Amino acid sequence: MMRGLFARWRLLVAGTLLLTSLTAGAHQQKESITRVLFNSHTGNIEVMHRFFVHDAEHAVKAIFGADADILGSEISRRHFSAYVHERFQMRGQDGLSLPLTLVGHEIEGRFLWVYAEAPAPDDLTSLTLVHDALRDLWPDQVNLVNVDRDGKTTSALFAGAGREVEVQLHQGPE
Amino acid sequence: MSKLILCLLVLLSGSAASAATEQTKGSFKDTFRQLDEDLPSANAYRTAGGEPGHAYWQQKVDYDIDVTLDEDTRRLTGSVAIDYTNNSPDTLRFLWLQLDQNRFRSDSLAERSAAFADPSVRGVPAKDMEGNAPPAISLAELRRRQFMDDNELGYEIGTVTDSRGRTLRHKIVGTLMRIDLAEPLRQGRSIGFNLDFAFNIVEEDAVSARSGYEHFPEDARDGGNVIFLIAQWFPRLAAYTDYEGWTNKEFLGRGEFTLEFGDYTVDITVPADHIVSSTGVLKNPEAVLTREQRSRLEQAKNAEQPVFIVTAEEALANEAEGASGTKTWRFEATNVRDFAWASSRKFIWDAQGYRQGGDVQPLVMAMSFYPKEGEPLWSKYSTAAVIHTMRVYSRFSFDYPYPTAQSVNGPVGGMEYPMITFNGPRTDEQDDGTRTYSLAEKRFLVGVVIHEIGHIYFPMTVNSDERQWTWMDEGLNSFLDSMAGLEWDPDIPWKVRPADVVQYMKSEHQVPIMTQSDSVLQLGPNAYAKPTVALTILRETILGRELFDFAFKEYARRWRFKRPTPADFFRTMEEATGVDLDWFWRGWFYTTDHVDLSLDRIWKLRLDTEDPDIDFDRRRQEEAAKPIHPSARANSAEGRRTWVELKPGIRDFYDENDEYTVTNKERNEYKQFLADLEDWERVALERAVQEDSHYYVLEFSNLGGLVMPILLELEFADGSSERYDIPAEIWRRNHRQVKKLLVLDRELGSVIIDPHWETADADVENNHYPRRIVPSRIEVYKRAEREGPEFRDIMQDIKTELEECEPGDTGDGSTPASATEAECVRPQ
Repeated sequence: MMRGLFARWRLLVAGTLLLTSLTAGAHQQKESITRVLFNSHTGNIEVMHRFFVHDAEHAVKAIFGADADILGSEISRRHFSAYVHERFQMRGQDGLSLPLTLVGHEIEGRFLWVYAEAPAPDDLTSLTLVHDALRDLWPDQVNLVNVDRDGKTTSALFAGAGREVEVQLHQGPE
Repeated sequence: MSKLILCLLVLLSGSAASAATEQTKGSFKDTFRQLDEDLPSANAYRTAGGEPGHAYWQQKVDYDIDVTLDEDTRRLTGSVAIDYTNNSPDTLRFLWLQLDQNRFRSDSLAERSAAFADPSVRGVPAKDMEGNAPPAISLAELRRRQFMDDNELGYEIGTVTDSRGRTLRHKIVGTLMRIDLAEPLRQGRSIGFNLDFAFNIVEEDAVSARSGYEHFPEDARDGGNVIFLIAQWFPRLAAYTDYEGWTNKEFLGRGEFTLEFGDYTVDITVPADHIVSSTGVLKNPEAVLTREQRSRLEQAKNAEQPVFIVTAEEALANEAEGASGTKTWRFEATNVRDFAWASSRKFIWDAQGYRQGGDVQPLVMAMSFYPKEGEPLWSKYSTAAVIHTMRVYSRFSFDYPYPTAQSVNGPVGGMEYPMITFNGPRTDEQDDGTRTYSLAEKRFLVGVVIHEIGHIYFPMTVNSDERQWTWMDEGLNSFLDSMAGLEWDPDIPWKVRPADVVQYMKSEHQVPIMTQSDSVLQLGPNAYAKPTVALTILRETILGRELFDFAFKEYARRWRFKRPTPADFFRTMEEATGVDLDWFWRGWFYTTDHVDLSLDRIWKLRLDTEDPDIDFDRRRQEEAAKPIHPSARANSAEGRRTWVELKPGIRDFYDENDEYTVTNKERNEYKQFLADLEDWERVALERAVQEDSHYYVLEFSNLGGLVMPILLELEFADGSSERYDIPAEIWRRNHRQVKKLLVLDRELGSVIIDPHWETADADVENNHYPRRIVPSRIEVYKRAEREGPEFRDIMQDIKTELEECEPGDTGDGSTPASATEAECVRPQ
């Protein structure tokens, strides 16, 4: 039994090795909020990730090196945006991935937003979400996701435990 | 039997948690129910108005400590003489002390109870198993575990003796220690006792402890150098309070602490080449500082900008060479609730006197200590931010009460203690050896210094208990730090806007703000952002600045150097403003409701004159304005003639006199109606008829649950607009749906709730009547997307030749009126 368990340990080498070279985060929040909106005007599922600039700044330095500069460099922002995009996935109840397209990113005050979208299938009843962004870097990163459909919100919390969260979608009027 | 007891306990705790009154019929919810039945009863110690009562008391604890830092073994060894004064009316038979270092023992409650991958544990947990994926553990967590395995952590406590040398029995319970007194300690009496202690200091980057050491192995000195940030480092008396008794709740790492005020004399022995920053005032500068350093300190008192006490060059030489032997630094601090310090040979030290005036503390020495790894950022901004914080916070509360205010750079991201704060921002070394920092890092430094220095006011002076109510210092302080930030540079985005907390407040993963700190799910939005927004709304929207600022300052004045609870804050804010805010505290602090008000419908009304010659014709016009039956319309379009049209002979009296025809019967009734009116009724009717105002009934629903004022922007048909605020009290008798009559002198075109996003309303679309499609963030982004400078094809555009624009020939010799008339000529 023990051997089996040990055999399955996996180290998150890429992020945490780099983390050890960082000084302790100065007043980092290590919290993000994502809104997944079923937009009836566009027929799309819109994914809007909101990170604190401060977190993103430390993350890009850890991942892409000390020269990375989230406020000063569009390249750094693009890198961060692609990094987030790769670590967020959605699957329908059939287990098939919903193909998200990266729309872009922007800084707004204290926040860095990353946008993606996918066409909304008609018959979606549940969503399985994966949100690993910054969690591979900082194990205490907390990502909160609100799924908004027809005025109802269902939440998924990505914090330490568990990689996937399935949310049952509110069904609109028949 | 045991089952029965358990059931009984559950029942008892259930009834204790719920109010005595209960709505047992219907679904009415009293969102305005007074809080007093949920708040602790007022008594002689705390008044019903939120003020310290006539019999208010708090304990006093004085410390005399000798401590030695061993740099090589990263170990502290000390002895402490404690003088405890019992000002409570109670007789104490034992005392409780906090042993925070025991939190790092492998058998601590914090360690043993930490769930695998529990994100609420401050530090570095691991990833859990899920589905078919293997479990994973981060290298950071491995480092933490290895450090804890390799080092004996927690306190070593020696014998406890009283001032007469008698051994006092003590019992260690996790992070607490009970000392049993030889004789009961009665009111007004003091007891002195001594104990020795020692512990191995944790490496902050490995363990995350709000303090600890950081090793710099690359430094020129053999073995490198170390920065020590030393806090929660001596056995500290737990607070004994009128509202909780002993605050002897285990330290789990999250909820911080509250302590007693007292006076400290601390002798700190460190390597001779170290510079020490500490709570208090240095009492033996001649023994530890050079003549030059003392002279610079003197000069700094009146300086207009920070003066280096230890320059960068001196610090660099210091950290390269090292020296042997030790020096003892003596610090004294009066009326502080804790004591922390920092020590390193790497420290650059700058200082500037801040002359705040007043009687309390006319001169404060603002000082910063940092290694070269913080330069050139720290010398430029740290001490400046310290002074700026005091300027702004004092205006909102009281004069800074202590002789020093310090900011120290080390491995801790941000943490506060009396007179001293630990702040983390650093700079990056480039290949050419210079050090640079990003704009973001600059903002972080200024922001974190303001925040941590702000904590010296809340909770280091206004002594709230962070282990119970984190929001009382983090929330109030975050609210104030954004004020101070805006006054530093308004272009920097400091402010937490109400809209920023909407997604958190909508989410299913949250707990009320009034939740014990260790049980809070997401501390950032719960204890910092949401209370900040609540206070901002109170100040800017509900009370207005004058009322809010007066009450907030009164709260600070009342509880300066005392121990407030949430009830004292809530009650003071109500008592000093004269505004019932119980609905606000209830909604924002005691529930997880969010704000979502919707304007569902507007009815347009017109007053009947009762005069049949006017009213009957109005009815006729209303009827005529209605669409005719679709089939009749289609018939008419086909040119189909009606029977009545085809057979005019069939017409009679009623074809000439419709149902709105007025007869003298109605006119007589009208006359009788007027005659029957009282004089005042007739006057009122006549005036209303004459004014012929526009009457509208607006129907609102409260979808989020939280009752809030309804801030309306009325847009009139003539293009003008007007603000009309409906107080939250409109929801008093129905918190789900209400109607409001507006009597206006102009015709209404449209209405918006909360047009400036002041109230954290979650759904903006239903704030508009008629409904307006509010584009999502992505839609807005995509519209603006291709217009930004980054979308120019500069590779192509750069080939463009420069054109010269000559005034065109207008025929009459005059200059063309606009550039479009000019003729641009491409040079050959």
